[in-house]
Amino acid sequence: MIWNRCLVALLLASPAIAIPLPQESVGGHELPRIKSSHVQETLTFFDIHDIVEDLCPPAAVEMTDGRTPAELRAEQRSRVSNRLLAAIRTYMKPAWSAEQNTKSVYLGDSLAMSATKEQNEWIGSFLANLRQHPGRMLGSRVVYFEVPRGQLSTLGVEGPTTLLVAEGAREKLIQKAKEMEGVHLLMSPEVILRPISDATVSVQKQVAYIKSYEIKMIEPGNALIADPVIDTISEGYVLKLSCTPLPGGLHGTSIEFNRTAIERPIPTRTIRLATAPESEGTISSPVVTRVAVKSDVLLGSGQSIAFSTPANDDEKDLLVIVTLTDLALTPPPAPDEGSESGHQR
Amino acid sequence: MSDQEKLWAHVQRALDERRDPLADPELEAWLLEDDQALDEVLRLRSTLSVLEATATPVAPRWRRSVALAACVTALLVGGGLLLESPLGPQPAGNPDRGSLAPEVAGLLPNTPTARVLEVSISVVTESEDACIATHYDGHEFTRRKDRFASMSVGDSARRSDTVISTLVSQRYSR
Repeated sequence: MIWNRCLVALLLASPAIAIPLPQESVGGHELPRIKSSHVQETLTFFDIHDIVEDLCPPAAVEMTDGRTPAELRAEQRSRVSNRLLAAIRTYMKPAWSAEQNTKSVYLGDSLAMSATKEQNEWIGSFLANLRQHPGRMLGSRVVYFEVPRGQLSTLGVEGPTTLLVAEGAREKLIQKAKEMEGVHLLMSPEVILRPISDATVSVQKQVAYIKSYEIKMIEPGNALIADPVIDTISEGYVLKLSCTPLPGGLHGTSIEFNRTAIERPIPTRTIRLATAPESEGTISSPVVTRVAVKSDVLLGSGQSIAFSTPANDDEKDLLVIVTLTDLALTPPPAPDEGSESGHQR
Repeated sequence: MSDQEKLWAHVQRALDERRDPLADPELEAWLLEDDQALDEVLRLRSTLSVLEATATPVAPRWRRSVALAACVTALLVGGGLLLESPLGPQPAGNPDRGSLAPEVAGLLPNTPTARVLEVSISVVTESEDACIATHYDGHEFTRRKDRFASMSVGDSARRSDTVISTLVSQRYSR
């Protein structure tokens, strides 16, 4: 037992120690038991204390629910560790295979992974890449256009997804779009985020309208009262992003963009509420369009991806351009580069 | 010459010319059809990036051990590759070829190969009596139009959940 504890302590103290599987006799109860498979795997411990510490945002706000700063910090560390683990499993090369034992455990400040030699090498380079730039920040800019039908090819957007990897390609596209007649720039939010963490930008307003009426009989007198039923629609957009720097200079970028728009003016009509001649009420029948883009892409710093789709009215196409900038590798764009800043944000 | 040999000759030629192999469109198209070869080339890239990463001094003692282990691994792997590559053992008197790994590693951050892993796009327009949904699932666009029962005078202002019109679906590529 004492020997087992010493060995576990030694393993946890080492940055990367590999143990060939199976390891039941070595680990005892302290180590995860991992079944062997025909894929040659090793159980490797990676010290991720410094990375988790770097990626945890400072706990500046005191919680009102009774949690102490230490408890809050522990929760943050656990969340970051789990995201780190998820990122490794998502982007690892070679990818996890179905036959593989995909056991991975977060033990305090160490990550225990059972993986092949090549996968463990990838994890090593992934963690080394994260360590290269402490305090790393990433920037992302989203630009949303409505383009007259058929004009996307003129802008150089040929398919539903177009990668803009050449230097200046994004700026040229945006400039051409702005100069094109009938193109509307609807929004261009920007977000700064930390590696692996999620960032959410939500700009919404509630629009209330009379959806219907409930007829109620009031005593005394059997009077009929029309009670309006109010419904609300959240109009605006929600942008969710997460970005994982990967070995080799690419960034695994997860994008979720949702926009809800209500057609103006909101159509209304009058309906009869009862048999009396004056018993009429006006209700609204809003036409709501929801655009949703969800994607996982690999982008280099300064590169962009354009998503496009035909709108439902068949009169225009929609264009969403997402740009990633790793501020540790690429200097932030000059203020005049994002000339759309004068528009709605 | 087998396909594999052609592939690796192509990779080595790209390295000879100090280009990222994955930035070569012909090679990229080839690799996209051969998962195993793609993994091998990605492993090579990963190894080379480790070489570059370990070239930066890391202060804390425990980090040095990581860097040392990574260096040893990378040098062993890189050394094996060099022996088999046209850039490998060079004749004496050619000092420019002595530092291959840092040169190649230096290319990598400047020539990443961006690509889409997964995508879905949808546009849904809902009104009182209709719903039009355009959806792109990464392969093709689909459009579906549903028309609902219109309300009669005096009816409660709620859209019926019953689809009464013919569903219109169309698939088209752009």
